[in-house]
Amino acid sequence: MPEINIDGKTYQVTAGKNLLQACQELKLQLPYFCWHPALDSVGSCRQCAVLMFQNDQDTRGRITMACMTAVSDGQRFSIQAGKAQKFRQLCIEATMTSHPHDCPVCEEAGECHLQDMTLISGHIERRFQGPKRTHKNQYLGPFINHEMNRCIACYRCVRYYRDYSGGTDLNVFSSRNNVFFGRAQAGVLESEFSGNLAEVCPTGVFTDKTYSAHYSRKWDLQSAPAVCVHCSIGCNTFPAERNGILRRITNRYHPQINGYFLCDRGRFGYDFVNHAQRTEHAWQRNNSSQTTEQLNSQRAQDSFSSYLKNTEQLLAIGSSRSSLENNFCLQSLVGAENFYSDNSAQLETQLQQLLDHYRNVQPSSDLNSLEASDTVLLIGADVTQSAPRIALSIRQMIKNAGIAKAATLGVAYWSAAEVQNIRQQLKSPLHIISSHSTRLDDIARSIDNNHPHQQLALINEICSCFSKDKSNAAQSPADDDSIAAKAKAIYRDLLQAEKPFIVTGIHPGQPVELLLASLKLSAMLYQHNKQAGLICAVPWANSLGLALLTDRQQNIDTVLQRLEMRTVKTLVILETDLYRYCSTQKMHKLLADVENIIVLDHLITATGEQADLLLPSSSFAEQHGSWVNYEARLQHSLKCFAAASQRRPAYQWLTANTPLQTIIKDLSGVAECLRELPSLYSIKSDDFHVARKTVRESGRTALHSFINIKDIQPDADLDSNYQHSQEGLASNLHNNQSPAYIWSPHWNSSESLNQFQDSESGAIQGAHSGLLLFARRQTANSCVTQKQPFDSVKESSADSQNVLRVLPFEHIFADEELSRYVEHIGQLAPADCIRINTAQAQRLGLIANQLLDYSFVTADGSALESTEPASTTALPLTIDDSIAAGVALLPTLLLQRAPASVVCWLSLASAEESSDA
Amino acid sequence: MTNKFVNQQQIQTDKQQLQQLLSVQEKSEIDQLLAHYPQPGGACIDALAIVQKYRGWVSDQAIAALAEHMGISLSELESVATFYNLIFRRPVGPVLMHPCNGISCQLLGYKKIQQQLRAALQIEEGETSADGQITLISLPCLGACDKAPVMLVREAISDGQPGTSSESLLVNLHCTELELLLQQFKESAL
Amino acid sequence: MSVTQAPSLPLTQHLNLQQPLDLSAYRQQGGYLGFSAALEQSGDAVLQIIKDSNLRGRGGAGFPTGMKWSFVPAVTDSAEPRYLVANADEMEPGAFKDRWLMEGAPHQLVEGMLIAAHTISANVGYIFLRNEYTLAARRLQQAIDECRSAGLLGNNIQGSAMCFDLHIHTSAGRYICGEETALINALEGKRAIPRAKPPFPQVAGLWGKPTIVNNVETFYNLPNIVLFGAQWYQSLGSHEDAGTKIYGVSGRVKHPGLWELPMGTSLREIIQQHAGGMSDGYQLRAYQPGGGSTDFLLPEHLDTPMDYNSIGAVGSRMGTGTVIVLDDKNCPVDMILNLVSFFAQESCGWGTPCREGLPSASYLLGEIENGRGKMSDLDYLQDIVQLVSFGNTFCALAPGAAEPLQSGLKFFQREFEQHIQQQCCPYK
Ligand SMILES: Cc1cc2nc3c(=O)[nH]c(=O)nc-3n(C[C@H](O)[C@H](O)[C@H](O)COP(=O)(O)O)c2cc1C
Ligand code: SF4
Ligand code: FES
Repeated sequence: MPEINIDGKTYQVTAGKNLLQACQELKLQLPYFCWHPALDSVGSCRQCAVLMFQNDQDTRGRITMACMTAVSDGQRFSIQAGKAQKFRQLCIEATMTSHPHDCPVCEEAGECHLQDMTLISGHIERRFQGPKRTHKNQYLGPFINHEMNRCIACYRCVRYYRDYSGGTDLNVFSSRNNVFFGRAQAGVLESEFSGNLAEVCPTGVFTDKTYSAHYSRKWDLQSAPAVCVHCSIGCNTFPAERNGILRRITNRYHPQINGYFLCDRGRFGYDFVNHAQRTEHAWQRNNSSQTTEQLNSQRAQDSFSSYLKNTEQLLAIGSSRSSLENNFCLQSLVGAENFYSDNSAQLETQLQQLLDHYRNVQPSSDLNSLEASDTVLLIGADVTQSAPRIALSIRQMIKNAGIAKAATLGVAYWSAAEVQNIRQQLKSPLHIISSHSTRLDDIARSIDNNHPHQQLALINEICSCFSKDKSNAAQSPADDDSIAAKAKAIYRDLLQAEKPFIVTGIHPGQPVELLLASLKLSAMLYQHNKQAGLICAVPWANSLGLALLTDRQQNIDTVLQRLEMRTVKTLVILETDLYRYCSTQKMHKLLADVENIIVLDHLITATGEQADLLLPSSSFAEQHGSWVNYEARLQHSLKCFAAASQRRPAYQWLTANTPLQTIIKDLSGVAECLRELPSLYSIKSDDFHVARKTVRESGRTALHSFINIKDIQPDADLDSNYQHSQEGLASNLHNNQSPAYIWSPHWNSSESLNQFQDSESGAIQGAHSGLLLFARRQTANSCVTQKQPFDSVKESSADSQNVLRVLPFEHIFADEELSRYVEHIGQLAPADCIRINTAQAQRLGLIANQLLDYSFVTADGSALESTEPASTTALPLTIDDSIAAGVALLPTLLLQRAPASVVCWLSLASAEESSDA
Repeated sequence: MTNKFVNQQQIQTDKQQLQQLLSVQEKSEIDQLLAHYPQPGGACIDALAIVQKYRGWVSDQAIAALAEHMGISLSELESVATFYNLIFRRPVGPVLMHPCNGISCQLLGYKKIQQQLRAALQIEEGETSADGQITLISLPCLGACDKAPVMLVREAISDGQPGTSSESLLVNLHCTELELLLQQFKESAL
Repeated sequence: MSVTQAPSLPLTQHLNLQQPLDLSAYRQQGGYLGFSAALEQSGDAVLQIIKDSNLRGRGGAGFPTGMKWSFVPAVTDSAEPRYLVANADEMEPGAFKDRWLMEGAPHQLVEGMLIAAHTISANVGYIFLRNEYTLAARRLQQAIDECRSAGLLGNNIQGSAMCFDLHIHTSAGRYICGEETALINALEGKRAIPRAKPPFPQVAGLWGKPTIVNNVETFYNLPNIVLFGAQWYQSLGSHEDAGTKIYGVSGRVKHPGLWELPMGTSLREIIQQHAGGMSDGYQLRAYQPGGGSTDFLLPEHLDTPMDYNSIGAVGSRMGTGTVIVLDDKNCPVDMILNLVSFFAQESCGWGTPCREGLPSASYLLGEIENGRGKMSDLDYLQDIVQLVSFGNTFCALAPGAAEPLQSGLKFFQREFEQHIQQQCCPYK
């Protein structure tokens, strides 16, 4: 460890880092703008200036930028020296010349990095009296506000948006003090990660538009350490509430998962919690009087119990979007034999296979190691749409070849611009095997868009490279277009890599065989190289958690069968909308035959509307819960605010108020891997509580002053050590409890994170990183025992050209149930359509935009019995030439309604023709 | 309009229409350029210059068409186009008058010259005369300080024939000559 | 043909502004003999000559050319391109020497570049030419075309293994493009934002490959150095530095112009003898010895020899060697305003002190010049000088504005105060 001297004190610092990073680790206050821990140094803002001395005799020193100076043994610096202070003061004065004095109306104020740095730098008076430069603002879509006059030209936005997230539609225009940051023309930002701009911009240029709609100052919010529920990655978040309204989501740093950034679904998908279609009360249908009546909690609970007295023909459906506790309590209540998952048989099989793989062969890797890998093979998963945060990590992995090259020239990884200049077009290899183009195509070395059976052939061929004579396979040149040549090229990259990764995913409509083959390939790679990693996205936030509880025979397909066979008398549905699994008419018919329908949910879904008893559960923001993410990491998400009225966590309805601690204890006995679960939940202490609200809260009394000037008693949280008030430990104290918000002296913005980390890119002090259910040590001696289960994915055997393999067209804003309730997210979901390529369309005599009816058929083209036409409304045809021959894409939600147990094939017909028939 | 909601078909027809905005000549010159660069982005500035050579300036449509043709994002091209002083993103007249406002020319009377030009053309700096013919844009030191004060006059439009690319003329100005010269240019431009 | 007589004016011996020498005429007068001589030697041998000659770059900073070239890594992969760039972006206020050279003797630039290319094993060259220099563009293009047909450019030049092609890149106008790393970004088709160093362009420059950027005039020195040797070259200088230099004078002098003179010729000789002294009725007030980004000097400094160290010793810089003369009838505040506004206008917008500091300075100067200044503005201006002075900013553009501003505040303090006290410009 190098030793350096700062203002007369000697410190040990981490080798290979720059002085600004070192100062942050030492908690020395040094201001900065252009530097960002994820974006590294460019040295443009000049705010981090310090004095650097040549040697012991040097008394003058010279100004140098801390962020551009590598630390090395024996250096001597001064932060305090008058010359350095004066320079930083002049610099911030320059920065502020055109900044408006609009803090009172600026949403950034109070958590503004610019305010903080202005104070730290000691700028108090504006000498400049001239006119300020002004700009016009742009409409950037429903998520992000634009207020360009506040810009201080730190270039973080474009560096984040373009260099980090791969977006192309935001840029800097013009020059000198007229630089403008925005789009070439006003319009919706195209990146799926645009929301991070609100956190990356140090001032109020880019702010969260959804937050504006119900804005509150940071000090009036209460928040909690929570976990995102919108996909399987399990990003850590801070939801923030005031007055019963969830106001926004911000990033909560987790070094192995989300780092500094969230996707837009996770950040902006929260408004379902405030949805008008939420219920706060229990409702009961009275079939004889044809009325619905509101019940009080006790009656609702009693009514629920009486429905369940008779367990004959009882069926309960768990939820992949609900917590482990809720699912477990439902399962315990109805008995394992009556408990079903909300996955199709196909999904359930894959999830169980994945768990087996984690258990016996190879544990999952995290996103941090994906970012550090040097070759990725991405198979059959459009991760940008299904588990977006993975895509962001792959974009970072691409840079590693360039970082390595820069290192050979003595350039440190954090010299962002220099690394980029050295890197130029050099990329670490990403190979994509898919059926159509994805949002990562722009950085891929090879893209193979093919029919699933060819995809499978390619993966099998790569597997066989591993079993064949290795040297031979690695040497023969790949000069033709054959599968063997492609396989060899990919194989070679995987073999040469230090840390090769297989990235894939499980999603509705995906051929099971592909997953199995991918897992097999991953296992072979892992056997060959223990540094090799596997990332496999799963459909929803708790898909794996639910899979841990259920048996693969008890899935949504068997639910539908049983409904069809009319063997269900009482149906309990936990936070699931059954209408996602078959057509509306059919589901109406199926439910009509069920005597008692009990729905627990926080939204009134289509299923909820059919309920005989509807129990209002609370959303993720209003309950404690554990979630198992794609890597089988068990995470605890804390309640942000108390549920209103009769809402309560589903587990409370299901157990009639058994204490949470008891549930957790019982749950931890369910499986060996859950044994440590209780440790996730912080011990409730009588002495020290953690405050959910900041001590700086301004108007607790004023909030209700038009009713009562007395303070309202804050809700008590019996299940955790967190208070719904400002009483308790300040969040910046190290106490083995994750802080409920990030805020510390001098640091009011999200940049205050550095005050909570032991080292740069270290975890938040006190935050639990979650439990990895299948840790590396358990599977260290893994071997590939799996027999290759499938050789091929079926090709259509029909002569007809009109039998197409249907695969899902996934979309970040279309597929996930909860975020779809959010108006702005829904707006950005693409219109439903059927997609095929030009050749296919010509063969079928179809033209673009033509309206089509579609029906699900068997592989030989015969119609499925007992199914009415799948499409209730005709869909337009979209031509997309990236789609493989023989493949049609259908929006995920529509594909999910394909009849059970049928491998999905599609037949298309012009809407006019079929209406004639 | 973004790929978040616009359907693929619409995008493709838009792209085709855009492509047609560039002339065959422009496209072939740009394609030649593209062949020289390891990355299409490398040809940005030269490609903008080609479009400007034929059109005098680069319109919103032309820049969108060019981005499409080169396979780079509009924002990237626009970012470059708006950086450089001599890529015009607003219309200019066929004749550009660039009096030099460099220090040597200022010491020898630039301000007066610029004033007279403004008065004669009845425009402000950066504007185009009412007849649309002459645009006045002062440029920094033209590198002819020994002849100061000077002005660069160019006819920016070429007729596309080889060898007739934009003519430019560096004139050594003394204020008395100015009116004559302006007269001359007004006549030739009309 | 062979030349035995070393020229006394090695930079301008072939200069003809009316009708520059074509290839055969240039060859007849000994052109490309320097290149042939270089080609017969190894790159290392030529490098040694250049090092020994003590040639310092003519782009402004005076960095020793041989030393710069020696940072280029040895060729490890012959397929990897290496680039050579002639910096012909001449936009420095008051500088006009490169245009003169290129318009008058285009072949000598090509020859100089060929020598450099051979020395550092470059295979692609660019002349980064200022947009406004259309005549130079035409003449250089003609020279390049001639060389291509004569086998002086292209593959296996003159039957050797050397391959080198040369292109003209016309800039789209921006002073910062003259800064060598910004120039490289411009060549890559990007916004001309300077790059941080290291890595130096010699190691990772254009497209991430080894790249050498030299000023036009630097290249003009090369043919004769190779032909007549380091010692001859050293002997040309009249003071510390070697060789000859193009000096120029503009402003209110009798004969503004450019002259090739021995390195170290005194300012007095340049201004009074070659430029003929001040025009009638004007007095010499002050001058910038090396273009718009250099500190003002006063008549008392006239006996300083114009070479890098001597000019440095009296508090200014050699810069481009083109002197801008301020007479007694022009307002010094207005002159500084012109210069500072230029630099503010040409800031690329990357570094904060430059982007925000210079426009503030320009605004304050405007207020003072127009009679609306306050005494406190002078302190503010001093602070901005500190903000943008050398070492504090991302590149050397803003320090270029700091130099005339700081020396102006010092030498013309009385004038500044007059403006503020009288609330008008006393020169108007
Ligand atoms: C703002 C700025 C503008 C410059 N403009 C030029 C220029 O127009 N021509 C030039 O040769 N050098 C210019 N330079 C210097 C170059 O960066 C570089 O040092 C020079 O081209 C190297 O050539 P030399 O080693 O032959 O002197 C400029 C430097 C700065 C900081
Ligand atoms: S918009 Fe924000 S992030 Fe972008 S340059 Fe301006 S201040 Fe920095
Ligand atoms: S943070 Fe170091 S220069 Fe901006």
